[in-house]
Amino acid sequence: MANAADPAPRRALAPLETCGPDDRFHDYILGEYEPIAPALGKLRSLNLLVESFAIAGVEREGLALLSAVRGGLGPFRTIWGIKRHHARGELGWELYFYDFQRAHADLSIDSVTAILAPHLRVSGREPRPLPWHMFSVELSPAGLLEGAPSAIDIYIDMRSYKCDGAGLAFENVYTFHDARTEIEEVLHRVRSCVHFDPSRDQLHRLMPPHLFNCHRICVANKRHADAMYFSRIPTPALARFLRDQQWPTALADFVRTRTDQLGHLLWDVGIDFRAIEGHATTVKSGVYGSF
Amino acid sequence: MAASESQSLPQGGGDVRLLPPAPPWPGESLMVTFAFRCNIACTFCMVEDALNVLPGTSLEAFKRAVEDRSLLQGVSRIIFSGGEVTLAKELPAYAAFARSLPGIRHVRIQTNATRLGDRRALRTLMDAGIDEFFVSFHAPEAALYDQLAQREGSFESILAGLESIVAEGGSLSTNTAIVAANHDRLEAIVERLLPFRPQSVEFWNYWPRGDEEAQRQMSARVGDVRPHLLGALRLALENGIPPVVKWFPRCLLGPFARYLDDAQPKALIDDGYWTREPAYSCIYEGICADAGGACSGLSHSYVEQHGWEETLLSPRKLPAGASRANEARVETRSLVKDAGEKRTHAAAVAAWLAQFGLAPGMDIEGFRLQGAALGRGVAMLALQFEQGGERIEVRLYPRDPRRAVFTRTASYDMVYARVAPALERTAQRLAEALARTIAAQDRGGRSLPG
Ligand code: SF4
Repeated sequence: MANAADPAPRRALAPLETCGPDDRFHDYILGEYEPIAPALGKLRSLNLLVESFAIAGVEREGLALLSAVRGGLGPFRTIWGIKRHHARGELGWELYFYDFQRAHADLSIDSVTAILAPHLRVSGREPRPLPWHMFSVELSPAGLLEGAPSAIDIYIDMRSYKCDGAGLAFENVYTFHDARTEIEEVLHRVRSCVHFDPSRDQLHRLMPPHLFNCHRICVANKRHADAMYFSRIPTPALARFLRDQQWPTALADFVRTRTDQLGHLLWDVGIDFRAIEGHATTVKSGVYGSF
Repeated sequence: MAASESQSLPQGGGDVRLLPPAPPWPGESLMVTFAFRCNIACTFCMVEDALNVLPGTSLEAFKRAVEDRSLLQGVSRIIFSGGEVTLAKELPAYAAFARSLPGIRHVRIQTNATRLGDRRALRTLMDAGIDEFFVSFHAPEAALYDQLAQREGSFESILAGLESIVAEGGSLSTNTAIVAANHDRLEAIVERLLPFRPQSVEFWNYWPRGDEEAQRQMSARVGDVRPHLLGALRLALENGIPPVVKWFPRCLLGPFARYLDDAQPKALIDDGYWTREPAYSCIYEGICADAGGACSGLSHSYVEQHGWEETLLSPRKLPAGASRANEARVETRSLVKDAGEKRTHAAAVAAWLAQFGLAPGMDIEGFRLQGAALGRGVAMLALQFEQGGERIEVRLYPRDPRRAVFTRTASYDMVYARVAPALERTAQRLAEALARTIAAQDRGGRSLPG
């Protein structure tokens, strides 16, 4: 394990990106926040994403995709997510495109599909104009390396739909709550999750103190799991999360040994949990940032 | 104590008469720490990682520190603590110097008392000016005590120390750490202490400094502690001894909640000590009127060990619309920063503003000072201004020459939060005006509230 005093060696070959005077900072629903420490010259959150590409062996492909998105949409408009699938230990990614007011002509499913096209084959399309506020595109190593098709997810109100070809399949329901003032709603939502048994499962296993100390909590119900998301946690809490969720050591060390260089940032994290042998068990975890 | 202040307990406390809480000694005390070594090894020690590591405050450093008389403002007691300060042969010199300071009426040591059975040694300390003894007392009998202290014979030496203190006319108060091993012996502990007539008995629920992830598995479940703690408090009160409780959920104390007081004195201690200060939260802190100032909730270490206790704790609900905004929450609690009278963080912020002639509602550059919020997990105070729906936030940080900032005063770095370009110049003028106001009183060495 790398020493906390020395930044752990990186896998990525690309130089680290640092914050400039015009950088903007967003949580995973594109809510803008002020960095919690001076940011100039410190590391952008994107570096973690690039590091994860490198760890999964897709740095070149991942970087090409990021640069296409930045070139096509401009900076600080896109959310990235890294997922860890616990059963397989595999990493995957997702990019999220928000347009709450549907006011941005350059941001449509078609335009983003076109931007991604040289690097990624997006299989889904909108069957008719839908009142989405966000859509996302999943990336996998196979998608980046071998051109496997990537579905899109469309988010409408508090629901999401998987869009494969022109077909829509209902996927998830999300509710968002202030972590403090709406804690009773959070408790109600968690207690009514089918994958959480209040008589056997302990809430702090899903929501330890370093995650509870967040901005907002989202509880989601999915087809095969339930989920909790915690927004705007500081970097030491992210380091702990990566360790607890057994993320690749290289990625966890990247954060743990650079808490100063990443200390201005807030992060978003989430877990999908499923009742396995009677206990809520994390099956997927995710980390989010913006670029 | 005025008899009229006593009142009977209608329920929960039975017929015991509630005494007023013991005088809040932390607010009128300055703690000086040195001698980071010990002759026993309590399993729950909160300075374990500092023993034989921290250099402690030398007598010279103590003398230099109090040259700034503001440090002694409102202070009538000097407390010496370590480690075990009776192991330091310089202790009488520290005590004599403390006695010579203006306004100091008491000199206290926090001690395990194992060395105080030696009357001559005790007399030397008392002759040097020590008149109060705050003695750790964690078990009612030798087997458990020696197990907790990891030294055979500890209990007998402590009893001898207690006897000497009383015989020599020292003022005695005690402190019991509540941990898994002794949580069901709290009544017996009070019983054992009664013959020594302590001025007060304190019960400090395990304070997990340095045990962030509960590796020691030291905490007892608060639901298991509760009946024994209430029994101990009742027994103390029945015998006219005011108790103090620290770091225990207020909602579990029933009529004894008035004895909960987490305050600690301000302290001269190595900064490194605070890096492992335990964090506290309550799952209901956003909706409980007692959260924050009146109740710390549970330590994160406790939550890691036993969970949030969400079905046991019962928040005293804030009136509708008065719930705490997430952003205004203060995440860390500091023993040093909690010094002084027990104050809410809001009161601490108000006092901080007042020292610079600032107050909520006042106008600066046409903007109204609407609120102030302490940073979450970062030393920062955000002052929020408003004018006709336009909001500007000016943030103050402790001064750091490496920080890129908009402006500085002697003690603070100041920036304003991002605003729309049209408001940029206004925000700059406001930040400059605020800096001038603060700078007029700021000669350096000021800290942030909370
Ligand atoms: S609900 Fe929480 S904050 Fe309120 S009194 Fe109980 S422990 Fe303290």
